[in-house]
Amino acid sequence: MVTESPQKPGRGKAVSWLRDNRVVRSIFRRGYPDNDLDRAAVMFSNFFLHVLPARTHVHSLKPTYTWGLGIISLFLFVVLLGTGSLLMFFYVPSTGRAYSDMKDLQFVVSYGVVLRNLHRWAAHAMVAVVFLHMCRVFYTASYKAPREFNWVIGVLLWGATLMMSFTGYLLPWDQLAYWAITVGSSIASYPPLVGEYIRTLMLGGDTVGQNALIRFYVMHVIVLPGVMMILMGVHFWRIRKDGGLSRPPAPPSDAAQGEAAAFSPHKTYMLVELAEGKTPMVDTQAPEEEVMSWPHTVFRMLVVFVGVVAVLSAVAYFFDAPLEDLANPDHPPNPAKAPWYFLGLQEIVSYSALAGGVIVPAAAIIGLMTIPYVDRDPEGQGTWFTSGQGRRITLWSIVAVIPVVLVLTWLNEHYAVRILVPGASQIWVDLLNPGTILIVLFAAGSLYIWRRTGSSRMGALALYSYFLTSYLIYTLIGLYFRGANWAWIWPWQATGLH
Amino acid sequence: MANSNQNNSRVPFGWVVAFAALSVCAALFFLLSVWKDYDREWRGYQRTFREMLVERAGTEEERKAALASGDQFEQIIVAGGERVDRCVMCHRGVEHPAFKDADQPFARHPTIPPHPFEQFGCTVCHQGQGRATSVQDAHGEVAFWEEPLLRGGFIQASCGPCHAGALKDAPLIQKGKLLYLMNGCLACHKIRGAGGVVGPDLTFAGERKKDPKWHIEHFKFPQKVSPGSAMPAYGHLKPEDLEALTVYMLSLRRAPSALALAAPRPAAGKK
Repeated sequence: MVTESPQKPGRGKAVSWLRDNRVVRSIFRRGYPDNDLDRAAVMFSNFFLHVLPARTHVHSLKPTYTWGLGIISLFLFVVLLGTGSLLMFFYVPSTGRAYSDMKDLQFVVSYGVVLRNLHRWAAHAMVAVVFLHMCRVFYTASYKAPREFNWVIGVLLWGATLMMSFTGYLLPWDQLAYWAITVGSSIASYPPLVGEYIRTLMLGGDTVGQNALIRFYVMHVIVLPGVMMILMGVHFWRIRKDGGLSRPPAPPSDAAQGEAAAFSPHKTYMLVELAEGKTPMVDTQAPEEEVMSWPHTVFRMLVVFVGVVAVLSAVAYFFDAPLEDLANPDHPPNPAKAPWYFLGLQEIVSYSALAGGVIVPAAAIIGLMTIPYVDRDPEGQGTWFTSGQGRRITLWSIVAVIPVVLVLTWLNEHYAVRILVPGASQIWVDLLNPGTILIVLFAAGSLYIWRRTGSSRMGALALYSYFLTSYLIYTLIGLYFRGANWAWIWPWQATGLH
Repeated sequence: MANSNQNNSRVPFGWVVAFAALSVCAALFFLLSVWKDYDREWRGYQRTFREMLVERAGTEEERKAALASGDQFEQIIVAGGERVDRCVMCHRGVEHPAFKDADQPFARHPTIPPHPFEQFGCTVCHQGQGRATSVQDAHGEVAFWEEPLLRGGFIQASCGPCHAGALKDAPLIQKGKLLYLMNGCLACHKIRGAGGVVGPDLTFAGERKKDPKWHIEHFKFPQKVSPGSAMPAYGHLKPEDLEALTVYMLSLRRAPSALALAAPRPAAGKK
């Protein structure tokens, strides 16, 4: 296999010595791959590349199919690990020191400001990009067999990403951090029976203090990154085992007619590929639809990585991470707001704590995790919105939800349970509020579409779009339209936004 | 794999262009960030100070030493790090005898014998943000910093926490106290157990609000800065009286704990 690469004309002796000396050869055993054999070999002999296949299906490289969102999430995670490790050298998780350490990062630590900016913006970006990645996977029906469980792992990774951001939010120990975590952890305390236990477990007490800071710190720098790295490993491994990224099924050909016909005279087979069970790579792929992963996949990934670094460093150059006053448990800002990705929940909590703290998040998580097991027929896999019909249903679901949410919010403002019947029991408030009513409407709407079209996929498209749109609206309301005492304001009347 | 497809081994040209463009962009912002990190405000002040030092040098040796000195990082650590004052990064002349007549930021600080810099630092009297190394941040005249630099007569308030009774160098505290009594503030407010209970207890008023501008504004229009307050306006008082009252309010705070810790030590250290 080791072939001496022929001396190309025009290259000096120095270059070939640099390329072929004993040390370089001991690291890169085969030299630069300039033929397909070495291009395949480099993929499976290199530790960092071996998670990728030697050949990649052209569909997986289409930017408009994946938008690169999964790999961007990974690269943001890598940036966060790097900047986070450096920040750990300058940070002590003590209530007496944490805020001073932020000030020292800003004023005396070399590159302290840019490190903190990169970390902060990469973290916000990761919350957004991981969510967009989930939307891509959903709208291309990539959660379907055999990828059901990988979708579940993805949902767990999304949850871990939110927890990473939430635990990191507290660490600067300023007013913004302190009160966002106070509000966020009180949302977690609303489930009946277990709620208070959850909060006590999370904070190590009733309020945010030194115990909470050290818990959040350990979760942020050890536990959650460890969990995420393991889950990512499984996530990527399963992509390989499931035959690469999802794509539309190949048109029926002689290559796909049962086990025996799966053999192609143009391919070489290893023993594992002849074992029991099918290898997804073989039965759906024709050699002409593949390109060598080196350089095609590897180079595109490199470009995306440089792009992530370029955009992050530009944002970090122009915008500084926020740092408010030192945390002061006696002076809550009004309004105290949770981190932006929980503001939708906080808005629903303002109607009913049970709805925002329990019903909506539970419905969202259970709904997301069970979708691949409910919507089972393999229709539309690998195509955005499945079909023209799916595209129309998605669009109209989004358009229809906007007035419904706004009307319900208006109704709640003027004809809420407690306004109509001042002494009404809390049960009625928890049952009849925009949060719970929307869940019922969404379930009814998507079931209707399922029956009407006879396709569970169409119902799933509608349901996901309902949730997505309504949560987005509530997040915007919480972010821009809520002021002191959670009263309505216009965005330009806001005083202390974050 | 046998049919090695050589013309398929090149990535599309567009991706190469994207790689080049994004690399240039990343490199540009990397260099800009390096420059932004190096180009700190205090370096300019240290350069100006060096030039002045060269001008004022008495002997050739002093001149050479001044020329040879580079940018220096300097801070006063009070009470093992509870306070860290980096004011001397720019205010280079505070202890230099040759800068007695110099203007700020290089003016020499008048000596107040029992208050050595090494032990007290700067912000314990002047307020501001000691850890900061850029002008606006250090003077605390920025958002999210509650203790702005005490300018003019307001600095007298800082003597109050430690020095009870009349101080000849801080007459405004005494004047403010008198105004407090004469204007009947006592009817509603309590200080150390004496006074009414309608308004808030003012024993530590200077710890709650540390910005003189807030106090002046509050005396003129109480409801503007403290909505719902029942306090009558005192805008009819003369501006200098409002200033004295503000000094008195600001002086109502506990002695800084950092100093209580530092006092028994011979010197808290200067790096």
